[in-house]
This record gives sequence, C-alpha cells and structure tokens, in this order.
Amino acid sequence: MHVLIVEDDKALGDGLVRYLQQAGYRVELATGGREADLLLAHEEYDLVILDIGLPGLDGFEVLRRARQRERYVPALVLTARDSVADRVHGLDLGADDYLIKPFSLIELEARMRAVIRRGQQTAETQIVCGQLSVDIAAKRVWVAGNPVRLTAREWGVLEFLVLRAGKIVSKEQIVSAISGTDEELNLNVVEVYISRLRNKLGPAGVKIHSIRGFGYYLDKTPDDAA
Amino acid sequence: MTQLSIRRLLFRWLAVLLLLALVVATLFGHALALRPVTAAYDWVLLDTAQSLTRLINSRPDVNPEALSNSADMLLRTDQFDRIYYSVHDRSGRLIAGDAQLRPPGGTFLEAGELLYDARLDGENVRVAAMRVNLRGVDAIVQVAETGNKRSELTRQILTGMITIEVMLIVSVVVLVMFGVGKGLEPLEHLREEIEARSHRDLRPIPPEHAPVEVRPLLIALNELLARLDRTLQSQQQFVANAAHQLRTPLAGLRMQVEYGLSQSDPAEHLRVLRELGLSTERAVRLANQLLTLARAEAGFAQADSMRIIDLRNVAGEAAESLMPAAIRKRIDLGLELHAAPLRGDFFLLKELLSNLIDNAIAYTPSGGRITVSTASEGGIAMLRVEDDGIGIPESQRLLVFERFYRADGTAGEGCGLGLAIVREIAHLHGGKVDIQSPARGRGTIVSLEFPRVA
Repeated sequence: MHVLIVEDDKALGDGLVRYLQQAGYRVELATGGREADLLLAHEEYDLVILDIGLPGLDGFEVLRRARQRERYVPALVLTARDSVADRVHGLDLGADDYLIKPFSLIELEARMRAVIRRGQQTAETQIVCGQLSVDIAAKRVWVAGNPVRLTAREWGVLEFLVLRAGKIVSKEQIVSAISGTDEELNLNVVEVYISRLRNKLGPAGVKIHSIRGFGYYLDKTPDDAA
Repeated sequence: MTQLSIRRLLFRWLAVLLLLALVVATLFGHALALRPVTAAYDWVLLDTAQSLTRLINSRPDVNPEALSNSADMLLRTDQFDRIYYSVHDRSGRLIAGDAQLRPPGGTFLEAGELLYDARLDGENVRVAAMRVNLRGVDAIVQVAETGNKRSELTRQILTGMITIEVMLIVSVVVLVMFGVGKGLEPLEHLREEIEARSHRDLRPIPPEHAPVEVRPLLIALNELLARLDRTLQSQQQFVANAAHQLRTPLAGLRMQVEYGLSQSDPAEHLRVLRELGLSTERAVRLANQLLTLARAEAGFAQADSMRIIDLRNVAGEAAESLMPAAIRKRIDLGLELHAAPLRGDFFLLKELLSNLIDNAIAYTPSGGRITVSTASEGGIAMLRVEDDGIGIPESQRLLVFERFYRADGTAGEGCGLGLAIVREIAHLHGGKVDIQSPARGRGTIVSLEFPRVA
C-alpha cells in the first residue's frame, strides 16, 4: 500500500509516517499543498491522507485538483475544524472520509482500511470481533479458531449482531430481521436465541451485552479489561 | 434604491409642497393683477368712443371726410397700437370710419356699451361699442384697438412676478435646507457622540438629551449594549478560565516529557508514555468541551440546523457511543426510549446527552445502574438520566452548572464543563434542566423538559 501523507505539523506528520511504516505501509510525506499537488500529479498512490490547513495551497484545493485528474486516489481528510459546513465542503469536493483532530491511530487505521477497501470495491465477508470470527458469505462461525455449529435462527441473530457490532440493537430489530413474512415471532424468542448464543460463544469470551429496556450490544473491539 | 434619509425625506416633502403652493399663489396673483390692467385699458377705450361721439355731435354735419380727418386727429395718436373706429346706423350702414370694423353680433346693440374681443386685419383687437344718438340718428359708434400695450404690460407684470417667484423658490429651498438641518441637529450630535466612542465603551447612551422621537430607539440600543456587555464579560471570563484550564493538562504533559527524557529505564519510559496518553486524553477532552460550550453559547444552532428530530434517536446514538465505557466499568446502562419529537440541533443535543451519560458513568461505581429515558407528554419532550451513583448534595445542585465548577471530592478527569454544556445547550433549545435525588437510595436524576413543538 502506497500512502501519501500531507501534513504540515511536524510532530503529527512524523508520528504518522513512523506508525504507518511500522504497520507495513509505503509512506511518503508532503508538508505543503504545492508539494502534495505535484506528487499527486506524478505518482500513483493507493490513498492520500490530507490535512486541510496547509501552507500554500490548502487541502481543499489540493483535493479539488486531484479530483480533476483521471486517476482516482481515495482521500482521507484530516481537519481540526469540525463544523458541519467544513465537513460537507470536504465531502462535496470528493473526500472519501474525514477525521477530526485529534484522533487516535487505531481509528485512523480503521478508516484507512475502509477507504482503501471501498476504493477496491471488495466487500469484506470475513468479520472479526475479538475471539469471534464470522464468514458472512459461508455462514460459518469460529470462536478462538474453533468452528461453532449454529441453527439457522441462531445464525440469523448472530449475523445481525455481528454486522452491527459497536451499535445498539433493539429486540424489535432482531425479530424483524429473523422472521419470515408468514410468521410472527415473539420478542421473548429473541431472548431465547441470545441465551443460546451466549452459551455457545460465551466460554471463549465473546460477550453479547444486554441493554436493559432496549436490546443488545456486541462490542466491536472488546478489550478484556475485566 | 437610494438609502432612506430623514433629511432627504423632510427636504423633499417640504420643498415639493411649498413649491406647489407658490406656483398656485403665483397663478392666482397673475390673474388678479391682470384684471385691473384690462379694466383700465377698457375704460380708456370707452372714453375714446365717447369722445368720438361728442366730436361727431359737435360738428355741423356728418360729413364723412371731414369727420375722418378730425377723428384721425383724435384717434390715431397712439404710437403703440393701431386704432380703428366706425359709425354705423341702425340698418348697419357705415356712416363713417373703417368698414372692416363691423357692428357686433347680428343683433343691434340694444342700449349702452359693450366691450368685446375681435379680429381685424389678422390682428386681435379689443372693441368698445356704444349705442348713441347722433342728431336724431340712432347709431353705433365703435372704437377698436390692437393689443400691443396690453400684452406689453402683461409681459412686464409676468416678468416681475416670475422674478419674484424665482427668488422666492430659491429662498424657500435654502431656508428649508437650513431648517431641516437645524431640526436634525440633535440626531447629528447623537451620531457624533456614538462615533466618538471607543469600541470597548459599552456604557449606555444617556437618553435625557436626545429628542423624544429617538428616545425609544436609544433605550432599545442601550438594552442591546447591556446584553453585549454581559456577553463580552462572560466571554472574557470564559477565555481566561479556558486558558487557565488548558495549562493544567499541558503542564502535566511537559512534566511527564521532561521526566521521561531524564530516565533511562525502558519500563519507566513505558509508564511515562501511559501517563502522557492520559494527560493527552484530558487535554483533548477539555478542548472539545470548550469548543462545544463556545458553540452552544454563540447560539451556534442557527435556524437551518434546528429541525424536528426525535430525542429518542439522539439518546440512542449518545448511549451507543458510550456503551463501551459503561461495559468497561461494568455499569448496567439501560434505555427506556419512547418517541419524543422536538425542534433542535441533533449534534448539540447528542453532545448534551453524551455529557449527561458520561457524567453518570464517571460518578457511578462499578456494578451500578444508569437509565436513560425519553418520552413525550402533551407534546413536551422529556429526557431523564438516572444513576445510583454518589449523587450531588442539594447545596451543590445549582453550582454544578457553573463552568469549571468541580464538586468536592471529585478529583478526577472532569474539567467541570460537562453540566455547563448541558445547561447551555438546554437553554439554547428553550429547555429546563433539573437535578433531583431518587425517591429511595442514592444517586442522581437529571431531567430535562423541552418546549412543545409548535
């Protein structure tokens, strides 16, 4: 992966370069708008991480010029201003995503992967949530590397949760997701499936959290602080 | 479009109306002045006709030729106008004089005198006709006169009047301009006084010296100034506080960096880095909170970001983003969300809710319960965040909404802005915030009510 970082703040630029290099990216750093524009015109990148407040040409202008060229470079915009108008302006100019400073490196890498993947038009069918990994296409589940057998309904509930990991999910949503057109499922049924899933996945540390009065929550990146 | 100016308006109206009155007065004056002039000339003309009659009567015979000679002597003395005369008998036969001057009308003059206008030899003439008895012969004597003298006099009178009129117009314009200027002088003084002010001087403008008409304006302006003054003072206070507060995490960062650089033990480096991470988190959080507060305070939610939204969705999103924190602390975060439509700014309200839930998580021990509920009662959107944490003593329930206020014994990561933000955003939406204690047990209930959606 060839990534261009455009950032004029020395500490931030330097930190980004080191971190991404260690993460296996091929990284180049431009510290000004004109330099970035020149590099984008002549080099091929898989992603550009673009700061907005730059000396010379600002990030918006660099992006506007890049979007006029034939080759599409996915762009992740960094900005310290988080007004809605700024965000909309950036997205209007063709930014694929934006991050507001200050951001965490973990967040940045996740967004980078998503943007690059979108650029390559390949959907991810393999989803990993801590100990749990799920192949959506093959409808298969592993916990800590060991395959787990699930019934169709259990799979339906788990798929729904996994696809919405990090989001709160109501019981009503789950019911409507797993019930066919000709049958009506009781909300209590959801509790039954969840409890079965917990029994099957729980021992390996996969946790489906209950939200009292609402539904369930599957942590996206469970860190076992327990 | 030209700018609205009282001076111009006053001047325009006064000048136009006065000029109109002047023109009308002049027209009347002209007509009045002309009437006696015409009358005087008419008398002279009648007099001439009488003289002519006397002349004819005084002579022994009515010899046309002789008469012509003496009449010429009598009449043709005018150097400005041509004079015609004629004497006709009852049947309309010309006895003497100019044949062109025919008797008036078709009917014979019954008695006395007549003055009329006619045309003779291509010229306008004034005619005096008189029925007389010439030695027993019933006759009409007529004298006609071209209008040169009359038009000359009319012209002179008109010239005189127009001269006077022009002078009057000029003086009216000058006087009106002067008068309007005089009348607007108090406004001018006011303008100078305001202009001379420094931009920092937000003291009220004394309305006593201002004219009655602008006093309400001044009072309104003074109220605006007072509000501006309060805002400015609280902004200055805020900036000072903010700068002060930002120093604290920055001082922590600096200290940790310096300490870390002086150490050689990798384990110590790691510990310092973790500390640095925490300090940074605090600084980031503080900066974000300050920005949110400044934005809420500036009434950042402009009309276009205020739309009908459901508080239930806002609460859902806010709870979702804090779910990992609640899970980490083993707090049972429950949601009782019912539809609660209101008019508001989604991002600011989410900020409000995040602050409330964040606070609840921070001040509720591990294993505690937090319940976020939304509902609508009679069109009033309501929000409640209840926890069974340490609670807020009654004496501090007003203080906690103050900026940078931190309750006793809450040494922690809070910067004392969370509830200030909550209050600011609630007020921006016309909402009320209230803090209570649960009926039994300990903890805090923060409840908000928003105005009915119009």
